[in-house]
Amino acid sequence: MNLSSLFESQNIIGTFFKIAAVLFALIYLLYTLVINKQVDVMNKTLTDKLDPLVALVSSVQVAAAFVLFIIAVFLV
Amino acid sequence: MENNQKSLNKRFFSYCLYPDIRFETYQPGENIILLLRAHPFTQVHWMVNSIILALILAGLNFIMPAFFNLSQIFFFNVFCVIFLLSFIFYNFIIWYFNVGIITDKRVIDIDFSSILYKQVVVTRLGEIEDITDKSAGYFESLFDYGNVFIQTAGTQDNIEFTNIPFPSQVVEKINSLLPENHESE
Repeated sequence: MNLSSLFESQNIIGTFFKIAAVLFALIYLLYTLVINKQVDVMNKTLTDKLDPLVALVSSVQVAAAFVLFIIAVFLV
Repeated sequence: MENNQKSLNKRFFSYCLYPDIRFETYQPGENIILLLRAHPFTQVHWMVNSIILALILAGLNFIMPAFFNLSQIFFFNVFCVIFLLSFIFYNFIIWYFNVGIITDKRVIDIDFSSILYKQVVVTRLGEIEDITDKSAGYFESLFDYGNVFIQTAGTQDNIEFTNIPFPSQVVEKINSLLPENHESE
């Protein structure tokens, strides 16, 4: 009885974690897309030597968010 | 290239003389004299917060194995590290793109107060009525940074450069650029 109730509780924790992981990963992905767009706007407003690096980091951030979403959906 | 003077950067690119930049409303032939950003010391708070978050994450890794399996802990760590790096990047670009620019013709204030809010205020040197610099506090005196407030004529927006290095030098520079028959304090 104790073992089965423990098993159920682990399932509940796992389910909640999965839902939270997918939700947060999706929200983060949307956030990085907005940031990427705004970095483009900022680079057009102020053009400096560091702009390509900033744009690159922003793109890497979007890619990382996408990978995180995939991990949340398939691996967690 | 219009700026033939040699560039000089002080205080981690927060005070740049004759910078090699272009901005949205740049006019060909305009000489860019000064580029200003907030003093680096004013950014210490988010750097400290980042370190604290990293330490909290490290500490949580000792507790999590009791409640979560390996894949969950892996996801949590990856998410937190990426979030932390995003936090640092966000604060960096807010500091980097919030600038004040002084040219031989105009004063420009570019504000990205949050990532979604952009304001560009442009004032011709001839429309400047009053310039005030304020530097109050222990750290402001120690690191020589403060605010410069530029009052403009009529209904135009006033300009404020906040937490910039060497505020008195900035005021001096603007005064030196004002038209001869136009004096301000």
